[in-house]
Amino acid sequence: MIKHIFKLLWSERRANAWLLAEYILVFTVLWFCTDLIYTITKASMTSIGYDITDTYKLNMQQKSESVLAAANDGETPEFDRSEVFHTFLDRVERHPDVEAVSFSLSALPYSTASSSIGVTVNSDSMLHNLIVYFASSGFFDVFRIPMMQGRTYDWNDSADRDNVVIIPRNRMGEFYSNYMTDELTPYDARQIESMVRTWDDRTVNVVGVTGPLRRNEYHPPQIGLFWSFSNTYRPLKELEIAVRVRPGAADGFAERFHKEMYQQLQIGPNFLTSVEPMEDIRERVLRGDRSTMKAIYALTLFLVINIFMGILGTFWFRTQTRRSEIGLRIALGSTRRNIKNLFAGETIILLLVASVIGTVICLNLNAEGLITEIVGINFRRTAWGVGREQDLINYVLTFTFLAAVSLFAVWYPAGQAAKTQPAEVLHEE
Amino acid sequence: MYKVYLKQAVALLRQNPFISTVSVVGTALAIMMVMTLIVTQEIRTTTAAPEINSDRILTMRVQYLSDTARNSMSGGNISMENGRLLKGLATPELISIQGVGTLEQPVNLPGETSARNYTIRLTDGNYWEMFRFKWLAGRPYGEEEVDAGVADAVIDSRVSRELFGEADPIGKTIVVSFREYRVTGVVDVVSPVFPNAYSRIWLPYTTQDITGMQLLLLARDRGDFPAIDREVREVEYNFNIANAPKTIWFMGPESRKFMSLEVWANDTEGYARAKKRTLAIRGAVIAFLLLIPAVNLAGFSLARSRKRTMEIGIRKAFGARRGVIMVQVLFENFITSLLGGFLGLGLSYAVILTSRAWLLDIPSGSEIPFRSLFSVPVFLAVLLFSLILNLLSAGIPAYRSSAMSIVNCLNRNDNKK
Repeated sequence: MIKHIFKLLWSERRANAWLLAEYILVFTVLWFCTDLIYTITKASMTSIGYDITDTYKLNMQQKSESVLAAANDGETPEFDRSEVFHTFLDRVERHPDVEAVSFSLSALPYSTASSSIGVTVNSDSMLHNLIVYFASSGFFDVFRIPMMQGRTYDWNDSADRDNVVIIPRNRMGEFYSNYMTDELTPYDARQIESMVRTWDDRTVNVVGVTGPLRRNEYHPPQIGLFWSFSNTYRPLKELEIAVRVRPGAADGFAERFHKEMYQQLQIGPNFLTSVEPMEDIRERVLRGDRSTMKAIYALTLFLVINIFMGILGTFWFRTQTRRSEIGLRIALGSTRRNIKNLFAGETIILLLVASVIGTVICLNLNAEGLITEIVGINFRRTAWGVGREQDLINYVLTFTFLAAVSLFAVWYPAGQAAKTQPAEVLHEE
Repeated sequence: MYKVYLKQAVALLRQNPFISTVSVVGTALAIMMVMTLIVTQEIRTTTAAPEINSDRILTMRVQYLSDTARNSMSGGNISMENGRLLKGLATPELISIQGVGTLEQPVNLPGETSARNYTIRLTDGNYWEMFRFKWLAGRPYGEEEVDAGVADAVIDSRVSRELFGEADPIGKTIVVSFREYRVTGVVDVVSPVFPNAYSRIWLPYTTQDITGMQLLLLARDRGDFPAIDREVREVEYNFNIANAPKTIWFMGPESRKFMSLEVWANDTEGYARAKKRTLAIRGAVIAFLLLIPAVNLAGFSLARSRKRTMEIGIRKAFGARRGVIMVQVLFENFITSLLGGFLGLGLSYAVILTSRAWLLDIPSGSEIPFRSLFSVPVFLAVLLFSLILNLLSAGIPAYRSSAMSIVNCLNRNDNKK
């Protein structure tokens, strides 16, 4: 049977070459759609490592100079920053619903701000460029950062303040520069004892390793450091201030806290503008990535429906032009089932050939970079730590889908064509 | 004659309901995608009250200041100084200067210990002449009050209800960011669809700390746009002479079309390039959305027209010319395309209404101006795209069947010419 099919395909090779080309094109496009959607959708459904339930961000603002001056006989008043900072911290901590408070700089999940720093690891001379999250020790409690090993630093203890905590790429503790490729053997973060900051040549000790963390659901894991910044009392409006609320107190916390603390947190020039649940911030930040993904889903759906229609149309036409052949086959003793099987077999073999060629093309195209550029979501496999097993997943999903669509597209018209009386069909000749 | 074609087209559609459905749905899908793009753009650039003049308004919001001696460049929103400089432009009918976008600020009544955040917009007096708000009470603040820094405020009717209940708010005091304002006017609530008009509370820009400005230039006529552009370049030229080695470049002035497409650049040539590029990408996306279904639908058209080769042969034998046959096939197909086209338009409305938060970036409950959905350009666009889709998908089958010789037609032998 298969040999016969190959013979048939070969004898109609001109028409079939077109079909094959169509299949290869469609297969390649679908492959990349599958790859992107599978990787990103899966990532968007797994935890990012930070626990943001019951956490809130406190946004502080400063009164305008004219307002401050107006309240101070026309002169711009001076404030003791240290006193302002400690009064603020004290008042927030004393709120009965607050469990933990944190201060940070470009460290909050779902924030886009970022800082980086150059370091060398152990006694190795290789320069690593790492993301740095400046955070008070409270940050680990507020977001319940999982620790793989060791402890965190105490930002109130000047001896401990310069110690750092490492964020590895994955649960195996793999660690290397964010800008390096997979070709380098990664370090085991748990084996790293110290680092040297290149900008001041100071050696800092590594006291702990966190679990893998991601900035948001659509970002790949970030390799970096947690570092305590010296609390030299920056203006409150420049800091990221977050609180964790005691279990059960989250209901209506934002409104309650704002109402109760609005007056109390007018300390110096500062005032509280809003209390935002981290979950709201998450929704707001993810909206961009989600709408990109929605656009991709919509386009893929559009493509899939069109591929379906295209295959259906092509086979419809093809089967119709072969009505006389079908009539002849029936006249010579083929059953309707035989006819359908023959056509289905032809299709699957064509698809199989196309899928092999398509896979070779896909594996050599290396379109991750291109897709990252177009889509705007980092899709490089090295960043995600996705291995070759993804290629198999892509192949199986793409092939299954195309096979299902094609079989439907062939069965229906072939069945229709096989229904007609052979005499009638042959009469057309 | 076209009546006969119409009848035939309907009969054809009925003959094979499966293929007909697939063709109509396929067309509808393509038109839906294209029309969603177009109607979204239409809504973003709509000229409905209060933004009645938006087709004549140019926006300026970004400046790039370079130091040619140090080779440095810094970009940002237009500074207060430069904003005032540009307010002196002569060509536009009216110029309004305002803070960029809106901000959230705490608002309460004097003596209250808590506050609620409201959306604030900082404007000048000309702002109120540029847009047509529905005034429910009082009046706006004017240019003199703004220049003098008088703390007047305009609020919308919902803010009024939330702060004062049913009492008359005019002349009462509200506190915005610790500063007292007197309410001079109340306007009807504005939909967030309007990027320049939307806010809850409006204040004179001179009464708050402000980081960046934007200017709205109302042209007398759209034909004045190039003249306004030239005048802006003149302002830059004079600035550069007076401030050498510093040079300045103002982005735009941007028409609402390119504003909504988010074109960005940091010099004149770059801006022109970015505009071209944005339009090219948009054209390519629409072409892509039409071409793929067209190729797919062509398969069906071929299958359909093949069934009728004999009929076409007979018609040809009786003297029908090639052109007549082609027009007939295209017309019949156009009926299908049009059916799909308007179905697609309907679907695109459904898509926009259900996912307005995603497509328009506005709260999901907010209203969409009715006029922007059912406008002549929108219907013309549907007709145009249906026609294009029709030509793309039925052109080859129509040409093939009209080009076949009578004998081959009658023989149903379409492998030979």
